[in-house]
Amino acid sequence: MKKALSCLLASVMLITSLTACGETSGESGGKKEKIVFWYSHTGNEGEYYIQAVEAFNAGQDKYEVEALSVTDKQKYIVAISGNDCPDLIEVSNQDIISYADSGLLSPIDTIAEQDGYALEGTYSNQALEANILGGQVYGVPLTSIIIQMFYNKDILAELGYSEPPETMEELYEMAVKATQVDESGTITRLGYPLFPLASARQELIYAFGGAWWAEDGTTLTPDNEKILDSLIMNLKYRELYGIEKVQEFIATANTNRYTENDMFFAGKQLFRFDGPWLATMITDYGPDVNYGVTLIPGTKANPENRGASRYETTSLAIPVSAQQNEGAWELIKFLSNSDETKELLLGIGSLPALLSLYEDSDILNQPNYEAFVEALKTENGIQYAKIGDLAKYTSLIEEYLDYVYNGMGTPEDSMKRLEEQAKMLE
Amino acid sequence: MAKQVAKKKNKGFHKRDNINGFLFALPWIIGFICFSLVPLMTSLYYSFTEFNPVKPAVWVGLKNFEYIFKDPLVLKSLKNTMFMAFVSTPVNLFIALLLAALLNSKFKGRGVVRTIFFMPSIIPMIAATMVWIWMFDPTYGYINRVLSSIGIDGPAWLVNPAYTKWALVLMGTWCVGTTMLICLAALQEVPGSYYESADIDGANSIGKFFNITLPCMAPVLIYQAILNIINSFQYFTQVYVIVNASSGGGNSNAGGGPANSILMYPLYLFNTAFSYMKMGRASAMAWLLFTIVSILTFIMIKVTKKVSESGVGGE
Repeated sequence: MKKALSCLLASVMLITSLTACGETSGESGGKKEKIVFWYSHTGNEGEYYIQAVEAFNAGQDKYEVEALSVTDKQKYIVAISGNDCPDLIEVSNQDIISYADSGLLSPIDTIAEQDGYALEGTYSNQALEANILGGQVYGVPLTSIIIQMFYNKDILAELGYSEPPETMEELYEMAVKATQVDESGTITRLGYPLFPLASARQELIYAFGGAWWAEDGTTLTPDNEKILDSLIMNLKYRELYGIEKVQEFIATANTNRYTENDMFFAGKQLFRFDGPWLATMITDYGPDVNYGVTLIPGTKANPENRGASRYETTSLAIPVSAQQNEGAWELIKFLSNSDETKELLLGIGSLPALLSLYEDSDILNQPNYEAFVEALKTENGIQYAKIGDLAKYTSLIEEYLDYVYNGMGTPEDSMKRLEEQAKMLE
Repeated sequence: MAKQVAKKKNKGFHKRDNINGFLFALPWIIGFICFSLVPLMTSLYYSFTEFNPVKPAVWVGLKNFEYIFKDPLVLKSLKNTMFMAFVSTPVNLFIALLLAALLNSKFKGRGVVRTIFFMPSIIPMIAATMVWIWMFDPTYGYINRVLSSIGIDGPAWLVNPAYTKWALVLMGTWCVGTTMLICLAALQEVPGSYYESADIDGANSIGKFFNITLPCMAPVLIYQAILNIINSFQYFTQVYVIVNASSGGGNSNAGGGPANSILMYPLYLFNTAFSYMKMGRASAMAWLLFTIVSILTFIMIKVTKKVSESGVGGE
């Protein structure tokens, strides 16, 4: 009797647990099917994603989206390579390429084609290009990210200039005049745009016509001579005030980035290479700073480099293990190409990848967006290399730039060593 | 006859005891096999393959090991890790011992002071690291302010590659609470009669410390050194937080700080697996780390044994 009772109890437990395991995201019997969407924004920006998802849910009788803010990249990788996989993810185009290279994403163009949805002509070419690997589109661009030059109008006026520089040579001259140090040699105002650190690796190099990879996206070019031109000017400025003192300023600037103590907001930085979100942050944290936005300068020899910037997107992609491909595709179209797209972009302070929004008055009325949208229209953003080892190459570039910027190696020697290391990359 | 029956009965009991013991240990054995042994052996297999989580593993033989022996970043990360193991460990032990000696003396409010010194050890590492990032700020940070008050121009701790690892050593001294407590317990185990004899012989405090306290504590200190060194080879959280917080924008968080100066081996292993998506290569790196730590542990155990056998420790 005891034995029979135990068996019965065990069977009930087994059935109960199996029933629990068998619960799927898709539900039948008239109920809405669940779509799991992970996005990489938090705080206020995350709120706008929630609003967009709520708008989608309100207009749906077939799908119900469950949105979750996930910022940990490793969580994405573990999830999309396992069974507990979201149906849709929103990540950077660099991640899209990396995940696609590892076979973690489904090609989007196939799904779009089946739906009769034209990607080309809807989104900008460079935005699509940023999400292509091996001729296939793996992510639908939601936002565009480019960097241009913010400048402090009051400091320029104080130096006797009425217009921002158009060449790096002019910028250098103004930067030296603007830089101030106290009696101990500590820099109290920085002229040269050495901060944020990512722009020292990218835009300061691109302004001289330098490039870390060739246009084919696969040939690495750390031996590019224009990189050296950029590094030489950079080092000249650092040596003028002492490398250690410049690094101290940068360290403090980095710790206080995008806070009330941000060097640009505090009027302690003349030029700043940054994205359109800086304007939103100025409104919040430094409303007193009198600033303007213009294209990043070119050089005297190559004025056509003006406005050269990295081009990135945040994109929507469907993992290969996703359960609700159709629902995910519907959500992609809603988030990236509907009235809600504009609301989302305005909320998170990002530039569009959707061509129809380039002329939208609400977008253009945002502070300084006009300058950024003009730069977008040129379609000459610098795309990332399409190599498997891009993250490692970026890490190596940073290492060897650090040798130069800290006076631990000459530009020539450091770039030669980088070239050697780059040979190991795949 | 009765003896034979009793013997047989005993044998039966032993057998049953063994089975019962095995059954009691079974949950652990199953856990060990599922969560330690199988993953360990799987990672050994994967170290000879090229794979990522959704693609089938492709056998590549020794290619991953060849790569990691050629990769300068592996060597660099090992050097950085060794620095933490062999510089930070003695510094931490010295400070822990010093604090333990101070807190061993009798004074009012000793319990509160002991708690205060132990408290940093229970603060989550990520929160503590964020606080230290602010403390290392060259302009507004407390460290440079203190240095400046005594006329020293403090460096850019987390930006200048020459100082980054020293900043980590400094940061490590904050969390010596556990080691301090163990040292304190060991100090209290030193027989008071030794000190009385030394007093009669006219020994001074320094003499007593080096000739009585330190030898008596030697096994504990060596054990702590072994643990600290092994922990240094798993040094990850602090550098991961610093690198991410100081990346300065952009998408590159897969580095190792200024000029990769705080690229610790576990961080590089993690980057290789999850940023570079080279799981096979990361497995090979894990086995290299396992081998190095095993060799070091073996050496340390030999040293401990020698110290114990030589009678140092006041036996």
